[in-house]
Amino acid sequence: MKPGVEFALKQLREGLQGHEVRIKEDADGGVFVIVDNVALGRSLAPARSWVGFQITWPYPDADVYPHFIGPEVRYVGKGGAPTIHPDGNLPTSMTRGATMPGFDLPAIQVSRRSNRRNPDTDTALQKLLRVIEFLRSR
Amino acid sequence: MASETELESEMRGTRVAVSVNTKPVTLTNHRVTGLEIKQAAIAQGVEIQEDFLLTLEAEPGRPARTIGDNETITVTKHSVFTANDVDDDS
Repeated sequence: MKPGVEFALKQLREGLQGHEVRIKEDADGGVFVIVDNVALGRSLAPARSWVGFQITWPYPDADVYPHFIGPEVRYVGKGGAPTIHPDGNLPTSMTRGATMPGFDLPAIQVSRRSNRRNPDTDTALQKLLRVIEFLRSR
Repeated sequence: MASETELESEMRGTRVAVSVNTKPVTLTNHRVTGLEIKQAAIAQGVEIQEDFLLTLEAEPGRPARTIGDNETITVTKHSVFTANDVDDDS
């Protein structure tokens, strides 16, 4: 595992006290990560799920993107859900039928790209917190 | 209703230095909103914008969490914040 990736994992574990953080190393020095039991807010049901992502070997010079949540999650909020699917429509940036890499879990993909990312301040933990805030605010 | 503690009385109106994106930022009150923290940081040269998402970093026994613009929190000299630009749909 690359040192930058290892440090990102340390920051995640310190920042997410109370949540189990599961990992599987990839073949290039990066890591696949799943954080369990994350509160997703009132617009999603069930209100808690795992959140997964990959930290690739060029990190911190690479964005952490996309993220994944459990496939059973449904949107129950009052906002728009233009991503049409027979298992339940979803807000923009969320897509059913994905697979969490590394763990090979069926998943919903959450695609939020950091186009103005500052590698000096934007960590895998910070990105995860923003994705969680995005989900909670749908 | 419980009266204000001595500590709360001392802290009211007292300047406090926190950290935002590793830079020291002086706040004029221990009770501030997320927006006030960002505005103070910007005024003191931290290169962020008001619409960045503010995070209060973890401390022992307390995980990291985001701070909303209208959320009022109590800060101390140990408070460490990070602010990053928001993400785009992809």
